[in-house]
Amino acid sequence: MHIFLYELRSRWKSLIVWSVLFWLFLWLSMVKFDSFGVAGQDINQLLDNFPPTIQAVFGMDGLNLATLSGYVGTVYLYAAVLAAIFAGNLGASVIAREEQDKTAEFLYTRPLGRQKIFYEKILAVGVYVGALWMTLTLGFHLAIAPFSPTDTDQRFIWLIAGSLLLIMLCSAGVGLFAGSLLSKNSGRLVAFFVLGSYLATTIAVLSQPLEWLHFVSVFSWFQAADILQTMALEPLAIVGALGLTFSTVLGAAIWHEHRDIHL
Amino acid sequence: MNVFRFELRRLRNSTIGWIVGLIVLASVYLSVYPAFLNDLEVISQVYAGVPAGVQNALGLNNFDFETEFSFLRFYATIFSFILLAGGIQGMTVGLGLLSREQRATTSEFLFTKPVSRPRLYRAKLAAGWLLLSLTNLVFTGSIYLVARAVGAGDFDLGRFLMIHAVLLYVQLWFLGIGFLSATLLQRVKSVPATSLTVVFGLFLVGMLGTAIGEDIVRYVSPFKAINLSQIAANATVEWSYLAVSLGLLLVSLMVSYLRYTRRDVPASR
Repeated sequence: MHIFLYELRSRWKSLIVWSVLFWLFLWLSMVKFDSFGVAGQDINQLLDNFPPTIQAVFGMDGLNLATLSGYVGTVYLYAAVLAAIFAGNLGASVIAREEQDKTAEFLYTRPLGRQKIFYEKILAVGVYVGALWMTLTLGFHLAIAPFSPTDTDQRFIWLIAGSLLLIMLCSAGVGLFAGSLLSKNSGRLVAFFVLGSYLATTIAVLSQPLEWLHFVSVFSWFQAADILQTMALEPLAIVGALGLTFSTVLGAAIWHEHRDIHL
Repeated sequence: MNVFRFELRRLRNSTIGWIVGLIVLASVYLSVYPAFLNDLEVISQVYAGVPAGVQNALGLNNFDFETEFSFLRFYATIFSFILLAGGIQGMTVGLGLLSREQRATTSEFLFTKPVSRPRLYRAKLAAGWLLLSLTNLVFTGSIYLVARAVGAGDFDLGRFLMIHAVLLYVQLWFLGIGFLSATLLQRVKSVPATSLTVVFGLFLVGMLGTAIGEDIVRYVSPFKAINLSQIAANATVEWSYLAVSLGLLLVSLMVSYLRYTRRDVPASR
């Protein structure tokens, strides 16, 4: 249990900083909601009939900013990307830190076995992902509370909370995998994953021939506009996200057990 | 000169990687342009048939398809994603340059050489500056050719270069923030992790600010300090935002200089 507790102790400050920043982010974005006018509504109605490429160039994403859920849905994408960065970096750092801090010799000569070390570390990642997820979910609920949300709004918040959790789990898995595979350079793989997924989403909405890029991006799997329309998470996306999490964590476990340690 | 040359050599491969990556990314976005142009023709034909009275009622009277949908207008929209990737490069370079001795535990080696710290700082700044400028030079040239290839037609070269100058500005801004973080943070554990968080954070703040119509973010986020669409439309920038943003860049360079030349160097572990 020592490694688990050590990981928890050494990271609580960064969790607090992230939580505060998230709440600030949510609060600052909701401040604008009630004063949001209907200016530009005419042009929006006009653009509604335009082909997808042109809508995308104008930043239309199928969300109506004048409704509570539509507005929250816009904020959601940005929260999802930030949450993915948090989880990805956490996963990578939890494995790679021993080599970065030159404590690998110390840790791996304990009479513990690599498997046990790995389990304790992913348990710590799980706790931190869960903690930030709870902060986020609570934050979203508090953010919409002053605007007399309907039941649909509440349900929508729970749905995006669910997708945030899945996105964080995938990213943490990719981070763990990167940490085991690349160690000191793992940050690059996480950066590539998050940046690549985000950019793939933006390209996929622009171009019909490149629409397949939706499949490679976690952010496309759970899009606010789709969730709002169907009021459910896409089952295939849930399976995909869980599958990605499972396979990356499994890969990380196998790799971690056999790899060389470079100091 | 040795430090300068060493840094250039060390960053050579990653810079080549970034240049290739940026060109590929921009080309993918630009490959959408022909389809966009096609969509555009269909719509303008439909709306050309709408009588003037109805156009007024729809608020279409001052909606000029030709200028609203010009190549540069399209390019300005997609360019914000190029800025995101470029910003990450800028910050990685800046943070990597000044935090390397600490991460590689070679501080004692470097700081005991008969080279003063201001000179080290200048050499590192010059190396970062040169690499980012080179990135921009090659990138701009290649994208000009790509734009020709996707049938961009006649566009104003001056405005095209102005849009590209924004990339250089954003990269240098993040070079400054990278320098600042390297000198203010106790220890930099992972350069990409820190860069990703800071750059993406400021990018998302800027995007969200635009989506919900909050102008304060334009002072903070370099991505929004300069309005790309405005450059595309009439080649102007809003100086009030740019001035504050430039001020932040200067402050971060100054603070990082003072810190780098004065701070205690912790013993390597």
